Formats: sequence, structure tokens, C-alpha cells
Amino acid sequence: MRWKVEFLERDPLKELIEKRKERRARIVQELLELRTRERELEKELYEEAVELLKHIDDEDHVIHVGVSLRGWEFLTRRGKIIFVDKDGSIIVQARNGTYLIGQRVVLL
Amino acid sequence: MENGRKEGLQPREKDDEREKGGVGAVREMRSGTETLLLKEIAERIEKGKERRSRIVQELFKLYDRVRELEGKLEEEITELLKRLDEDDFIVEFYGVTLENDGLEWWTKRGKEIRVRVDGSIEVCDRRGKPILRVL
Repeated sequence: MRWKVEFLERDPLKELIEKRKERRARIVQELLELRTRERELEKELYEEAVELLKHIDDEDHVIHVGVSLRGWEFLTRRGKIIFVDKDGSIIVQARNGTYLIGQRVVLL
Repeated sequence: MENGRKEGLQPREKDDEREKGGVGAVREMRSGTETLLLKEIAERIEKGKERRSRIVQELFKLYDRVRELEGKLEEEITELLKRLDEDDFIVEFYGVTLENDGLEWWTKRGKEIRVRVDGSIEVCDRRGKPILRVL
């Protein structure tokens, strides 16, 4: 009995994927690095907001963090909003809408 | 001792003020303390302003770059999906893979697409069965 050797035809899809492998690897590596840096910076801002909150209301704590067009927002358990603007200024708004620190103008 | 007792018996200035001014004086004192506290906080905030500004601006730049890079990968995945399943498309970027060695996307039809750090791609169907793996 003789064995018949068959070479499988190359899959064009796999070829396409293999072609850009290096480029993808580079992108994913950069993305993972950027994420690590992001986490570091976000942690710094968070810690500062928590420190400020300690001085304003000792029993309150941050429950949600969000990003807006102008900066970062930290929502607290007691309904305060701590807003860190792009220019570094901090605005603290109470639950009823009054400003405890600073003042923010929002265009409607 | 005697002197101490005498001092202790003497009314404090604050108490005097309270007695003289009543509720108004108490309010004034309280608002004075609050103003002082707010001033302290304001000074603290002013100190770290530049640092915070730098952090927020850097974060926004990072987000832009991340979006740009993710967009590039998504384009490639869409191209791949076109050939695998024409009617399927990306619905969500899941984030980092469980093994922390790449990124993951989910499609409308439940496929999971993983792009790993070495550039390899793995596609699994909705049951988790691998349907494409290019190492």
C-alpha cells in the first residue's frame, strides 16, 4: 500500500491574519502599556478626591467615578459631586445643587 | 490652687459673646469657623492645581491614543468577521482577556475574538468552541 501525500491548500484567511501579526502585536502591547499608565493616573486623581472629601465630610465616600468632556467626576454616597477640571481646578457640588467649593458654568 | 479656681470661675470670652449677642453671635462664630475651614481647603486645592491639570490632560491624551489603536484593531477584526460570518459585527469591547495577555471583543452573534500580545487571533463561537486560531 502506498501512502498518498496531500498538501493542504493554504487558507487565505489565515494568510491574511499572519500577514499583519507583527503590527497587531505592536498595537496590543502599546495598548496594554497605555492601560497601565491610565490606571496609575486615575488612582492619583481618585486619592486626591478622597483626601479632599475627608476634609469636607468625614463620613462620606466615593461610590462612582466618571469622565466628562471637561474632566473627571466623583460621585459620593451622600450625593456630592467632586469635579476635577482639565485646568486642575476642583468644584464640589452638594446634593441639592449648591456649590460648596468653586462654581461651574455649564453651557446648555 | 486658689488662683486656678478663680480662673476657672471666670467666664470665658466666648461665653460672654454668646450671652451678649445670643443666637446671632453663635451663628457668626460658626460661620467664621466654616470660612476658615473652607479657606484651608481652598489653599490645599490651589497647591495641587498644576499637577491635577497635567494628570487630567495626560489622561485625555491617553484615551485618544487608546481609541485610535483600538479602532485599528477593530477594523482588522471587522475584515476578518466579513469572511467568517457576513452578518455578524462587533457589539462590545470587553477589555483585557482573562489571562491578561491580550484584548477581547464580543460580537452580535456571541462570538469572542481575542487578539493576543504576540499578534495571534483566536475566534470562539457562542458556546466557547474555537473556530479559528492563528498562532
